[in-house]
Amino acid sequence: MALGIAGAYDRAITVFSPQGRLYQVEYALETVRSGSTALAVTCKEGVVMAVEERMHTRLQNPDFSWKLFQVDEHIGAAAAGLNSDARVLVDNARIYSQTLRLSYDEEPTIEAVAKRVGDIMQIYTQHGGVRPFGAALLISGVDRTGSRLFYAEPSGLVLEYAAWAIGRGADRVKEMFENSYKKEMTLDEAVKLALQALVSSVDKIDEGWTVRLVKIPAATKTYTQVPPTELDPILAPLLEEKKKGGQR
Amino acid sequence: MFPQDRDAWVKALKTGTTTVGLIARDAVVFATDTRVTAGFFVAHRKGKKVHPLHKHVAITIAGRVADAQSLIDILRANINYYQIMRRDTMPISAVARLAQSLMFNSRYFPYIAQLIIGGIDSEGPRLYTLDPFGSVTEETLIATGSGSPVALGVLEPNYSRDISFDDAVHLAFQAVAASIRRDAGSGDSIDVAYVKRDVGYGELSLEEKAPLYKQYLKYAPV
Repeated sequence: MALGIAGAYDRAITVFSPQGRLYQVEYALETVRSGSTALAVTCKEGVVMAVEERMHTRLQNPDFSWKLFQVDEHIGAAAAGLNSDARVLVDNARIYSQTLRLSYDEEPTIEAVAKRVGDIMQIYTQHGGVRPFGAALLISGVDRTGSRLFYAEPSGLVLEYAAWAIGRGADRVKEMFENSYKKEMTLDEAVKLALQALVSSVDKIDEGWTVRLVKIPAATKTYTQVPPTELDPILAPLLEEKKKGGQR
Repeated sequence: MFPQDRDAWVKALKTGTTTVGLIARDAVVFATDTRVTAGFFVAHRKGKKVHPLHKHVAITIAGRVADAQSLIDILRANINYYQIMRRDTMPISAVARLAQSLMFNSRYFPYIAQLIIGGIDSEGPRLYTLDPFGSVTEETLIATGSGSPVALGVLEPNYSRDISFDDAVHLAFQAVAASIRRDAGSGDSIDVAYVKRDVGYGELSLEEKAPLYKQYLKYAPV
């Protein structure tokens, strides 16, 4: 039997290697890392989620988003990695959110829903005959505790951030967040930061590159898609600048 | 309780309530009394019998309160889920079908409730009524509960399909007022609710109802 560098531990499903690593989970994270970029920014006035989506043909319907999801009235999710896996996770989150409403007659917290998604991801690292999810989610919204943003990854790890990104442009986005993020930002400033970061994370802006953005304002606590007509005035100067500046 | 035991069923299905629903121009209007009874005892005098299920659809309840409330919770969860999955409002016919399935599936241990489900979707204003076993009929005007014969007697001769919203509110109120006068199981006060096109669910305030009480009941509720 041919044993590579990883031994045979990368072929059996989620078995510990002698070094204590779970290769399948690490490979799942690699899937996320190579997915297209998704990011989220929180501020006092609400949360913003933005994703890049590439249209591969003009035959594709540009109104259909496969990276941004509404989970409940006041909760959204942005995914990176395998879209099919993300959809299953989001549907679980949607059902759980309605179940919480049914059980407790109250608005579910973002934390409760995010942790549930983490729990489901964890199950798929420990059971036989299954593989880990090939997607990570940014689950964000506004509840009675304020603006919240959680990151859930295939290992089942759930962490909370003020602003975060996943996918192939994540490192550049996070670098920009580290430098420019302020908790006291207005929602409009958060939208601008999200778009700046997203544009800065791309190597080459081609024909099919599109941005999709949703807001959940604290004032309405409602998942709201921002139409391209509203995004373009902010996006156009950023793209122009990028073209002029060449490589970032 | 066996399905053959007719007397037991008749007793179980006896309600002390009047609810009415009717379709108006670009609106559905509901009115209910607020008396909650346990036999000859008035258990509550301000019971809510008309509830929003979503922005565009409402329900009135008559029968066992616990059963109806539980049904409402399940319907709400499913309507929310439908809305978020499809990014589209659930048609009223689909809400009625869902309630029908829930009730029919438990027909051997039924939800003791008579429902009126109404609202506005892309098809326009729609109104349905359901019995405890899950039969559904589509209506333009309907009343349920022990006071319904009295209410229907007022509704039917005065209704037309293109009735205005204000006239429909008056008619619904008048119908419930009539059954409050002549049905011992109905009484206390009257709730009026509506689903209007481009507005959604709403209820009439006490101030808005004051002239109606004066005109149709000759007394104000306590």
